[in-house]
Amino acid sequence: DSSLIKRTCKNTKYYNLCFSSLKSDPSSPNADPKGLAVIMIGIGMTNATSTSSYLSSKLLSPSNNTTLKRVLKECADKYSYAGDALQDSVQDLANEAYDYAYMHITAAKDYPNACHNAFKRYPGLAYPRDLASREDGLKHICDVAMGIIDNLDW
Amino acid sequence: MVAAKKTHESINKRLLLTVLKSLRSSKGKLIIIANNCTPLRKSEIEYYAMLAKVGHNSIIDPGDSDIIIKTLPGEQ
Repeated sequence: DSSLIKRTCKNTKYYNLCFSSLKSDPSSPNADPKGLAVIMIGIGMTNATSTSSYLSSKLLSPSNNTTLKRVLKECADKYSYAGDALQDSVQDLANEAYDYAYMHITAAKDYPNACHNAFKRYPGLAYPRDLASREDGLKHICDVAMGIIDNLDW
Repeated sequence: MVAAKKTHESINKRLLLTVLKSLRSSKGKLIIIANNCTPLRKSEIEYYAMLAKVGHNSIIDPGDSDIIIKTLPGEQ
């Protein structure tokens, strides 16, 4: 039964992303709205962690550009922190501290900006297109999660 | 490294407490958040500011402000 997923996703900014993400999760049919929020946050955690790992892997490639390496390391850390913030929000939901859950997701959504700003500090460094795509992806996931929390009864 | 981290965290805690004290006493009118504020701390401050109904703004572009330009990360 996906009617709950549909109703829940209608109140989020990105319906298609919301529906496809939740629908594909095996536990979503048995989840309540709060559980759907947890699922979405989990997807965000996976996304952030994946991006952090991806950035770390780029550090292993041979390069003489020490500035780029420093920025990539900084970005890897930022996405790791984003994952941590999302983990905190799951705990907040468990404690029914929905306002703090929202706060932590807002923070998670902002960490990609910190990464982007790191690149902006050095005009010679181009912001990778694939990283821009990952940034948008995580932000949209966070937006969906926040939309779901917005409509919880709290 | 451990000492530096603790110092950094301690400073962050003090700054947050200062902000919270201002918010709780209803003396704060506007909170300005630096561009290099950590996202978690920024989100937290914004949340408390919202509760206290105090306006807040984040610095995105320094414009022609000498003070901000001189302290931009990476510009020193």
